[in-house]
Amino acid sequence: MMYSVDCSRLRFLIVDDNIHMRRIIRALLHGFGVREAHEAEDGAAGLEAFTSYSPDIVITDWAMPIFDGVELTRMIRQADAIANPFVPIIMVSGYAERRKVLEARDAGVNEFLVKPISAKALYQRIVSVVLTPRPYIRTKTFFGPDRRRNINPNYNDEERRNEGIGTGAQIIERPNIIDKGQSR
Amino acid sequence: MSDKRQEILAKLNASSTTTRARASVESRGSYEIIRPRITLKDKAAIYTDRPGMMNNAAIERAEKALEELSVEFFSWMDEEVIKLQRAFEDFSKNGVTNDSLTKLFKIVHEIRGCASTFGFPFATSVANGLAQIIVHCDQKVPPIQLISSHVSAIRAIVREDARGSTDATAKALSDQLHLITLNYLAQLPPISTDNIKPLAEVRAS
Repeated sequence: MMYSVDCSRLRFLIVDDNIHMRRIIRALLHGFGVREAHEAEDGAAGLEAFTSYSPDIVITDWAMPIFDGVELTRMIRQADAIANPFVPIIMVSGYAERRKVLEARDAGVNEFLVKPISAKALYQRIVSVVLTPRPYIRTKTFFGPDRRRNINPNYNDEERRNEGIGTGAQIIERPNIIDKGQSR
Repeated sequence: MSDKRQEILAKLNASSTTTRARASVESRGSYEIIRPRITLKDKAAIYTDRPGMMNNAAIERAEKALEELSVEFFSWMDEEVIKLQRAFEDFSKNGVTNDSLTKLFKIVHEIRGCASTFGFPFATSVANGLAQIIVHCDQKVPPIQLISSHVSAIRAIVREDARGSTDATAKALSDQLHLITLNYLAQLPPISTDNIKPLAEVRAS
């Protein structure tokens, strides 16, 4: 039996400080059949909108004022402190570096989409979070979608998830964007 | 932490609810596997006789919507270039500070993210090189001339409306700056090379 996604049944929250990118994402969503899409212009407004609007899917940029997209994700993933910590989060970012993708994943992002954005790529991410959702994992230092997409029966090494149950994800104060970019 | 941030976090903690009521939790000793009881599949999945999970009609409608919006792209790109020029002037006139460099990086990062969507892939390519320079240079003495060349190139690409990936002048400019950027980055102390996006990859995207 085959499934497809009826996007008209889903409510979206778009968080991006660039008004033009918000318009583009909204236009794409409307093309998919989405009827309800709310916008927020920074991470703080995004978090407020998240608690009051209860979206089914969050689409967020990374680099934004007040809270960036990774901080926003960490706050949403505080398992006992917010309406729906399981909400799928699709990050749309100009960052293409592997370590950035891993950082977003470790904050609890479900899907990462490198700009430029395309209709097909965004649709694929939506289909992925709706039709093939991964379970959530909680360890001492992580709460978010299972970071393994595939089970490797031959994997026999240490596992990140054996970090122990604790207080869930933590909000971590991070240096500014230039400092973060320094890797040497 | 700013007042705004503290205010939002306080509000967030006040709205505490429990996860366990809405999910099945399987304890594995040192970690838990949590499965939400209600998923989006329950809410939005529909049976179909189409092969595959992709709805091509929906994608085509979205592409058409994007095309209709594209009449605005030149003016949007122009706005980004004005912001870039302002940030560069602030950076070069008022001295190099962490703040001015951060602002410059922010707009360069915006441009590398949106320029291809707006139809200017060579502007993305140049902005990507400039972002690498800003991130990896010695921020006490950044290469102002090299940064200036990149800013000028982005302005020229947009001013000449060099959209798409076939404009020979924009391609030559972008390729030349890419080589200069690679040479510049190569002379810096060793850095993680996973940050340097190959030009071909920039174009392909």
